[in-house]
Amino acid sequence: MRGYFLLFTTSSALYAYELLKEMEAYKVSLVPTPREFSSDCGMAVYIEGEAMEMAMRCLDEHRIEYEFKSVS
Amino acid sequence: MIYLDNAATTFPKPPDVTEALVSFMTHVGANPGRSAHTLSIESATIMFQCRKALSKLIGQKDFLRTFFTMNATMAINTCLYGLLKEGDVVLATSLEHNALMRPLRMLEKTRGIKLRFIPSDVTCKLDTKAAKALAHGVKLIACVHGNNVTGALMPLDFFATLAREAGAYLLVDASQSAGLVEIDMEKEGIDMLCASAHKGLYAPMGLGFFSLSSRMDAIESFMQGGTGSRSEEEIQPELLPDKYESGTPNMLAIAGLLSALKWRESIGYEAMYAHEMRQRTQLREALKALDSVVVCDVHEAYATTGVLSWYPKAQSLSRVAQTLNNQYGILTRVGLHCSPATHKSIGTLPHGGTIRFSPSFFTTDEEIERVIWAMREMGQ
Repeated sequence: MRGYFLLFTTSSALYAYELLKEMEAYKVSLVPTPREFSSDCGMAVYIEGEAMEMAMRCLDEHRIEYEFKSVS
Repeated sequence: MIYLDNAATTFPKPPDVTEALVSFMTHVGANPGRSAHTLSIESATIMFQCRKALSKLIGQKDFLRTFFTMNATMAINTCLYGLLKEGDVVLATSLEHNALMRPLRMLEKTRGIKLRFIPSDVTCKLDTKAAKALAHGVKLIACVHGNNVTGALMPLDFFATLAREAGAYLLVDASQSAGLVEIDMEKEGIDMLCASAHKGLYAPMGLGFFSLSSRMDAIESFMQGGTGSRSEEEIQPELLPDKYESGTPNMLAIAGLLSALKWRESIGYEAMYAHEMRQRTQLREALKALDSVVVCDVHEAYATTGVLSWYPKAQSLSRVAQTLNNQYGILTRVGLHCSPATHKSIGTLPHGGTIRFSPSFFTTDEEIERVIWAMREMGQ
């Protein structure tokens, strides 16, 4: 599975990226927020891997607001 | 030259800080949080790491509640203007710096807030009995931690208890103490901690910060503008930290602060404080032995920073400071130190203030010996 975590501030994007990277279960990278998903001029976290609910739980536990957009 | 004006701005900075500035200007230089290209991410990462390290230093567990400003004055203004409404009552001390005093006086005029002040004696000892009576019904207790004239460290535990009992918020201006003495916002019950980065934190000028406790409701933003978030909206986002950080930040200073925080962590509070206190004690004892000067002592119940104030008994204050500068190469701060309230409280207003010695971690013992020698020679 792959997709984008859309975060709402640069700080939360970097925070999410740091946490997801530490999990070592996913391939993650910081990318420009795709225009088709948001008009924000910041960055999003691109993620590839299985069991995406684990990643979501991690962000929830750290009270990071996000939207997840799955891509094929 | 012997630089003894570190309470205004520490100088020199650790070599690592200068290197961080050069490195940022040479290799990064981009705006954080406005794009997602490589250099923008790198810049944003420096800011992110700095926010985390700074929050850790002050006992702020939620680092997204620590916000960068231009300086401590802007941080204090943001808190006061964001919190206070018409008719609110504020309790401060009679030892406040104008960074706090002037916005309070302006808000008194423009929003009709009510001000009360805790009296102090000439040694900066606060009248705690009066403070308890004055605290009734206040919304905010606002105080300086380290007094910039005398070095007196105000009793934060007393203020925290006072605020808790009064149901008030507690704002602390830690510009003179941050980096020198340990401050834990959570343990010490501080709701709004404000400070500058260019003093005891050894970062470049043009950077300050404030941090809000978890019990502090979000305050109004003082300044609005571009944040790189919610860009489709014309109203300021409520998201933290963006709500309080509009416009391009001083990334040079932030890169410098990150480096300074790593440097100071390798040294520790104990060594930094012991160094300044040893030098303050040496200077104080030497000055006390001179008949020609008066030392502004702090009450024995209070600890101090490295700051020491004094004034000549017979000569002009500015003339003495000028002689120190021109003849001996000793750089001091003379006058009222933007704190007329303190000078009024300690009785030095009629003298035009004091001369202030303020060493830093980089002031050597040899320099202190030369200052003492100069003072003795001038006293003869």
